[in-house]
Amino acid sequence: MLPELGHFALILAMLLAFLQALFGIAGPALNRERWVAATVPAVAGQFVMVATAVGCLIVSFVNFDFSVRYVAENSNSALPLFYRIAALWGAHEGSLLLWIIILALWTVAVTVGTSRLPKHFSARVLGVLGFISFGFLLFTLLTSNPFLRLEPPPPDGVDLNPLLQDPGLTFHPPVLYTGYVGLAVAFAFACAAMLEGRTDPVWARWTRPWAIAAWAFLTWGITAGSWWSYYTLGWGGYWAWDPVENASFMPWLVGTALIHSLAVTDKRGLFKSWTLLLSLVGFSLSLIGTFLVRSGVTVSVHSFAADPTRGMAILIFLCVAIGCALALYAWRAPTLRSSGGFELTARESFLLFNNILLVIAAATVFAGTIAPLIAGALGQRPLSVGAPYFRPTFLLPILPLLALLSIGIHANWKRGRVADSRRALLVTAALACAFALAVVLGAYSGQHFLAVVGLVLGAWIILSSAVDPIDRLRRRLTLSRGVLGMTLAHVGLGVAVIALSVVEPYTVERDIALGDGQSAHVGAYDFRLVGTRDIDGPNYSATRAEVVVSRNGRTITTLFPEKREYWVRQQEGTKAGIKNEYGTDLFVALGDDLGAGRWSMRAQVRPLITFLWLGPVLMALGGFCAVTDRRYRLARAAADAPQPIGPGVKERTA
Amino acid sequence: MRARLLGPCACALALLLLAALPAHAVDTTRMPTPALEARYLTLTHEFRCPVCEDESLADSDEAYAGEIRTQIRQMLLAGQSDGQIRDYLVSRYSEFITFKPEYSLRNAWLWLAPVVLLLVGILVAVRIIRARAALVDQDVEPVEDDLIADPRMSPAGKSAVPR
Repeated sequence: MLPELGHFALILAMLLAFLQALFGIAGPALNRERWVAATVPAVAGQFVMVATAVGCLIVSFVNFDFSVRYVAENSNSALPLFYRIAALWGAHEGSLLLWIIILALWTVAVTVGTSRLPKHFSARVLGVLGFISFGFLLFTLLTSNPFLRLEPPPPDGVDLNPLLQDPGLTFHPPVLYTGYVGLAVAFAFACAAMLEGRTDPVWARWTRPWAIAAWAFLTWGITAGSWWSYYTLGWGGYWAWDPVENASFMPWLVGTALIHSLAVTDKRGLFKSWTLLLSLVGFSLSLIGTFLVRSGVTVSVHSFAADPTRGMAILIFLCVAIGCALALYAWRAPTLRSSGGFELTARESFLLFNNILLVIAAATVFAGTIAPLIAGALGQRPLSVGAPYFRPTFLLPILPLLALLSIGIHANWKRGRVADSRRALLVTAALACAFALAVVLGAYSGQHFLAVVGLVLGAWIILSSAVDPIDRLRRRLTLSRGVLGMTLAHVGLGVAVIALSVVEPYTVERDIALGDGQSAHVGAYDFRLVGTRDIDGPNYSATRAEVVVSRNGRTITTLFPEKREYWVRQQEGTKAGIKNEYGTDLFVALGDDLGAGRWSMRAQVRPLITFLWLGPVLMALGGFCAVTDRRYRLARAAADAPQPIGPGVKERTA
Repeated sequence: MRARLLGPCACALALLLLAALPAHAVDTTRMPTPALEARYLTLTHEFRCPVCEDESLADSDEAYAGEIRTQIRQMLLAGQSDGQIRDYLVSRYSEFITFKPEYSLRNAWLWLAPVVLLLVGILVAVRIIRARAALVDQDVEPVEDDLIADPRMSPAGKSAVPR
């Protein structure tokens, strides 16, 4: 009964999403106030229905209802409760449902957050969001319904993929989706501004907190995914330039460009059409990413053929959504003009370069990701594109970006007056160089040119970002949340750049074969296998090794890497043994039983890798901090005033 | 690397992985000298296992990948250069095997795109900045200072800030 209820709720949600889109988009256009007013109840109803559907599926999982195909395929009577709930997003159908409920949550948040904005504008935003939700609900119901029954029901389920049975994974997809889907809000704001024909840049201020929040979630989600793959997949990789990773990285790069471009539009009324375009492109890349991943086109050509309906359905929706948005843009963008001026060294110039370089980086990643598809479509020899392509081509725009950042944050709007900060810039640059040399010459063996460049740039970003905030705090002046958030995010970037510059060249990795009591030298450390024993988990059995790590004869830690065999799917999983020592990870993953008590294992010594996660976490925190800036609350309050557009803004719109 | 899974739809991939989940290879091959060892590792990471989904030779557990690793090891021990080994692998298994697209006419767009985009981007930026710099003297609008946390300075805030 419950699955049918969930199915029915999903159908109602789709109808409500359709009404939400209709009322939201047509209501303001036809000046029908009752339609405009009806968008809010439509949002509420849609959310309740989606939540009901999700609840029904969760209850089916919790109650082991294996008559539901999705439950049977992704859980098992031995699966712990926690993972039975997380199994909701363990495969295709459920993760679409997750996508939809997260969009519904964002929509509710937007409804609350825009309640003080002009009614027609917020109705249009909700209308566009309703359209997106309608598309995904339709897609789910037609091609990927999670509520289908099995007849007769199997006695037990197939089990959740063991790789997904990890606490890290439980939180990774929801967070990442929150970021991914959050870009839809910026998309909707941009569409609403264009539908309304707004030529003033006030919508940019309204959009900013939403775009920043989505970006922060995306940052957090990508980092969590990288960390999760590092420690749970057991091979110590954190980024592989894989199509699926790229699919999340491209929206992030464009989202980063967007939050900077929004700042210029908000503060100076410039780059209006560019900011609109970035809002559209950011979410379009989310959709394209969904298409790339869902259809399976990039993983192999064959899986596309295996399920062409799903791929085609997403492709059609993608074309409709992006096509409509771009048509709207082509119609409205030419009406946008601004008369503001700025000098070469003004903040606007630096942010212009920021945008151009980030978009080039995204375009490069895009080119590398789709090149194999293009080769396939043209019937050419198959092509592979991996790290050896992405690394150099990505650094090409990113290195100048990092260098310009340190200078750019000292530039003022309109007239740069960078010269005023010349001393601070020179002193921080000198300190950064000294730091880089000390690290390369002192702490790690072997000199790498790129490591030095990265260390200098990273340290310079941190020091240079900190100068003004520290100066203001010393003079007992307040710091707005926006500036504090920006500083945190930039410092986080610097930390990540430093970590990457050290992790990449100075990681020591060796695959070793050890018998009981034998040891091997990896970097400055000795890894000694004490022994192995068999243990049982709740739904797996495992071999657990005991590996003692020592340095110069002094024992540092004991690691317990595991190789698991999950009973139901007869599938293997690894659990690496990791110990962090002063930011350096000592890592062992268990390989194969070579016979005669010998085991192969992968040992790694990764310096500073902790900071590779810490950096992006700081960036995300910075984003969340900036969202709470008073400015945005005041922007909403200002919209309540009888004259919705401030005097300053009017002048700019000439 | 199996890090493919960490993408936006790790969960999505669960579906793809239902079919097969090749275990990760731990390749304990040792080369006689550290220099050869380094070259061996570089080469096995630069080429993919032809029958796997996006895994390098070094990471793949497939027997086929193991055979190609053995070939690489033997060629290294026979004193062949990296270039010779690359050419051999590409001619033997087609360009699909290398993660680094060849510098060829058909891949020219791929390799040139970042450089061309960068040049075009700089040109565009210079043109925009030139045009805007000419307007700077006519632009009399006050600009709020980011570091001043007082929102009363903001144009939109002016009308509505409660005292």
